[in-house]
Amino acid sequence: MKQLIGCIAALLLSVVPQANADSRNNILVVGMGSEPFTLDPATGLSGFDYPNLYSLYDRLIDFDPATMELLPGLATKWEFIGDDKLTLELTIRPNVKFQDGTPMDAEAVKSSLLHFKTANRIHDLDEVSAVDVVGADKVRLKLTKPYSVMPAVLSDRAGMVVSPTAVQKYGTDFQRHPVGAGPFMLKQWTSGTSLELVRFPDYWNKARIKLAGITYRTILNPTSLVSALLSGQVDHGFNIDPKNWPILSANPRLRVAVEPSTAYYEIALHKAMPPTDNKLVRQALSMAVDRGVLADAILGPGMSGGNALMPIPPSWFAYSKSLENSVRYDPAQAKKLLAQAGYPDGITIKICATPLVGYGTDITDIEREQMKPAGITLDVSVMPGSACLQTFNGTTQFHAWQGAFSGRPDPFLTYQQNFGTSGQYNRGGSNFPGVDALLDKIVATYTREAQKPLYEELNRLWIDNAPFVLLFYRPQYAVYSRSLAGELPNLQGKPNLTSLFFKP
Amino acid sequence: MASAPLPIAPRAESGRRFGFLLAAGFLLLLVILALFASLVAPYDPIAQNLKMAFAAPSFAHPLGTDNIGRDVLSRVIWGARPALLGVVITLITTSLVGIPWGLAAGYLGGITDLLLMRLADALLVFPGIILALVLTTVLGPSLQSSMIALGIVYSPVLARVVRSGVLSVRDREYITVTRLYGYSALYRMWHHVLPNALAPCVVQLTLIAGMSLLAQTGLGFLGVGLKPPFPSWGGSLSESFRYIVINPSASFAPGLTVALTVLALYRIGDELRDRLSLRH
Amino acid sequence: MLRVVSRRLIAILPTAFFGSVLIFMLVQIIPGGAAETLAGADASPELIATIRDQLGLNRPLHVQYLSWLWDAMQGDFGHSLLDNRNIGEGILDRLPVTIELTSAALVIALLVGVPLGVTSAVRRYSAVDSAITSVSGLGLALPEFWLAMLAVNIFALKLAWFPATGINALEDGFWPHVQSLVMPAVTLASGAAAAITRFTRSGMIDALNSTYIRTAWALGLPARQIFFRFALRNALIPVVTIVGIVAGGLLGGAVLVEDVFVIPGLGAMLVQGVLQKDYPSVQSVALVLTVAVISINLAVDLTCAVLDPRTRG
Repeated sequence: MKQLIGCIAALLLSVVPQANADSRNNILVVGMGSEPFTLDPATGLSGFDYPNLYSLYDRLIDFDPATMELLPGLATKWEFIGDDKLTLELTIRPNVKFQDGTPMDAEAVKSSLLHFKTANRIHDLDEVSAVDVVGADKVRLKLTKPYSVMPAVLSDRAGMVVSPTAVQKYGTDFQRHPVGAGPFMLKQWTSGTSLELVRFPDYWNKARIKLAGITYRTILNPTSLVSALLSGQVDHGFNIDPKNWPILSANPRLRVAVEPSTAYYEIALHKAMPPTDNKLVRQALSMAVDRGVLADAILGPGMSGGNALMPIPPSWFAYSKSLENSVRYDPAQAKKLLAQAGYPDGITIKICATPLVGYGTDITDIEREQMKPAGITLDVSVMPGSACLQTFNGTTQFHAWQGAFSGRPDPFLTYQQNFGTSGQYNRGGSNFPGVDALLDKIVATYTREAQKPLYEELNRLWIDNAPFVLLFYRPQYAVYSRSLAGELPNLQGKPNLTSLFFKP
Repeated sequence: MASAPLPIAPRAESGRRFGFLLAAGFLLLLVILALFASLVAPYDPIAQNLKMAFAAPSFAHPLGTDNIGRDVLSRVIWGARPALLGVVITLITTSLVGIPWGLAAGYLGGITDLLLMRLADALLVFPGIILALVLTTVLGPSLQSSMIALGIVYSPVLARVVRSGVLSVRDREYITVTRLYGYSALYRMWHHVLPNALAPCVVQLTLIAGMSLLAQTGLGFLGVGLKPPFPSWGGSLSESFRYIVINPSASFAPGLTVALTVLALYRIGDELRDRLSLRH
Repeated sequence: MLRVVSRRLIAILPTAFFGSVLIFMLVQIIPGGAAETLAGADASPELIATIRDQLGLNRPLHVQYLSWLWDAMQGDFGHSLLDNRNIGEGILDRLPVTIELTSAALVIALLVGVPLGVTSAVRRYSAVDSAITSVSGLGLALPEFWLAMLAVNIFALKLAWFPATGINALEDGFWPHVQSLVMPAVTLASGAAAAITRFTRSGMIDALNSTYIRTAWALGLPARQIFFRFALRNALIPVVTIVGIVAGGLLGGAVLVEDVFVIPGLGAMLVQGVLQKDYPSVQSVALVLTVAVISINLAVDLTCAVLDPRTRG
């Protein structure tokens, strides 16, 4: 019996897999902390799906990863035409094919844009009133108002061109059978396990791609993702809890990287129910968190991207350095503001948080302690992520939601969606005086230099109205196998992994 | 399976008694700690010291500190409250549902018995934690609702025990006598049938207490039924799993406490069963 | 024998009926209604009405139940509310790994539990017996997911003997597959092995105390024959009866163990469904698990009937 056990043990140990590029035939294995519900760019809402989408779809307009300046993509050229600039003309790249063989031409672009609009999930194309094909390689977008941000919108989900034949063929099931003009195409998608993609042999920009395929493995538990990285089961992972940095960077097989990102942590506030409908209360809340201490405790000392008072990171042109330190942790002052607002005995804020994820209950535990001296009681309820957000959005059960925002490709979109009266994240639909007019002015301005002073004014309004309690910027924490190279981290912090390759 | 137990060797007997006393002592200690947590715990269980995160065990913090510098020992002590409270809620629910269920089935007999017992079978096939998980989502995520859900899940176990207890005495002579004297069915059940079914019930309840604590910890591990910042053993385990790579020993304190508590409950159940069956 | 089988089959019908009704009712008791919950934020009454219509919630309850059951019996579980996937396909994808994991755990539990229980009973009240009893007590008391956490840390991260997560596909080789199954199956089996040890021990002790074994001793039959041929056979009957319960417990434990090891099984599907409020998926997985446990219990009943003629009545 003993010999038998010994024999079995020996057999098992002799086959411990030493995972490496060779054994995987040049296929990159990525550990994903989430799984897309849909791979139709028009119907998905999660910021975590971008690595998958970037692999499957090419966009009409690309961006420079470092500066987010726009670059040609499936459209080689774009310009606003007419004196009113109410038409955006796109020149479509010739000789491009979708993964199902359908030609990617002006007609295909038109039907892709209409598919996005009719899905009616994301409102990025609401300002487009019509799409006209004016030649084999020319498409014109009619706009309802001056909208300088439209090219940036086309570098996001809305610009991911989907195959019209596949949309026709699969109908609503297209989301499980994605077909784009990107470098990798679907091989197999097993829910809860993995999304396997292989190189698209007729990709238009073939020289750029060195991998034979990418397998996105679903590893929902963050600890298990770290284990999978440490044991070499996956070559790459992102959104890694930086508290694991010492162990990960000590592993000789791994390389850790802190990359830029537009993401930040926030407490979202309901602006239509007391007491958070009161500007003074919101200001008090913003003063009642010690952002630096919080960030160091959550991400590890020196690991955060800095304290956040504005909804865009310091590296972006719309950031106002002059306002950087305009709010400090001052519980005594916060208490005075509350008294001024009519709450001399303090307030109770009901907040919903999700355990087991990066922005879980650790943050609210610390915030509660920091807010106490200001007379603020943080009453935390714990719910799974989607339920939490749904309840905050759909009911008046909570004043606040502990969460994060992943950022948009243009600062205007971030401000419009969070701060504008009709913004989808403006919970309570509050109309902040002067904000909508300023937003209209920004979007009718066509250069970053001209927009900059307008943003300075907008940032001042943001800090004064405190529509959210912003906490700190969260860089992208990525871990790579040492055999990998070629990453192109982008400012948005939504990784595009198609440029990676295994070192020979 | 009727058989006369062999006489127990004296040495083994003393060892068993020692084990039982140890188990009972541990549970008693836990109850005392839970009741007097505010006096016993060295620190406030929610007080943080962010500069002292993941501190190793020391004189000041005998079990170290957690990811935001809270004293682990104090959290384990305070965590005994929801743990024991949860167990009590489960036991009460199980008794309230299971005992009438078993009494009705055993006493009324016939088609009622058949239906009630089939319903019990149907509930028994569900793994407890799965039904509790589903019910908790439906009832809303809180400790109370998950523990009530668990109580309902376990009630058929008790119903079966009560029913067989009832069956064993239902047709005995003294019951027939009370019937002749015109006592009501309810009176007979309360005064004669129930006391006879009580002993096996108590044994069963100690086992259910153990299972319910394990399930409660499992639900907490999945993030169901937590109320931060207040400590719970399941919550502490899931937190420690998040940092198991950097601080592998953090799960020892809550994990061992759960294991020892369940062990003690089972040990007491075993002992009660032995003693009660010896007496019969 | 045929009569025995048909009697058992008829006996489980009410159980299956109540089970399916229970699962069906779970969705009916959602506060506020499933449609309102699903419609979520800022839903218009029209949207809620559409969803009610889509889910068939406007029909009488018994009609809803019957059509749900009828579809499910034909393998049509409808579509997930999250990603619109065919739930039946999802269950088929995930069923094999859960079956493999729980059966592997059951086999391990039996292979460990029965010999330990027999040893314990044969050498009753010895040091070996108390050691086995103590360890099995611990096995019952340790949360399986905690054991799993510790195992990942020691055997995957420190020693690198086994992969930390997932089950390697069988196509990638038999040994890597088995290797990735070892830790989840062993940790899952811990509680079941302990339970089986205890049941075997008490069953064996009862058997050894019975008159026919005493007679066998008196006749001077060899000890080996008495223990294995007579006592064990009878001792195993109560063990077999609890295999059904143990298997149900393993399915429950699998929910947590699959979570720790990132195994895409039915347990993981259920947890995700519950957390994301994907009611059709939850209902379907619960129904499949119930049918599985009922079938196991039926198989156990029949095995008992074969082993022990007395229970055939």
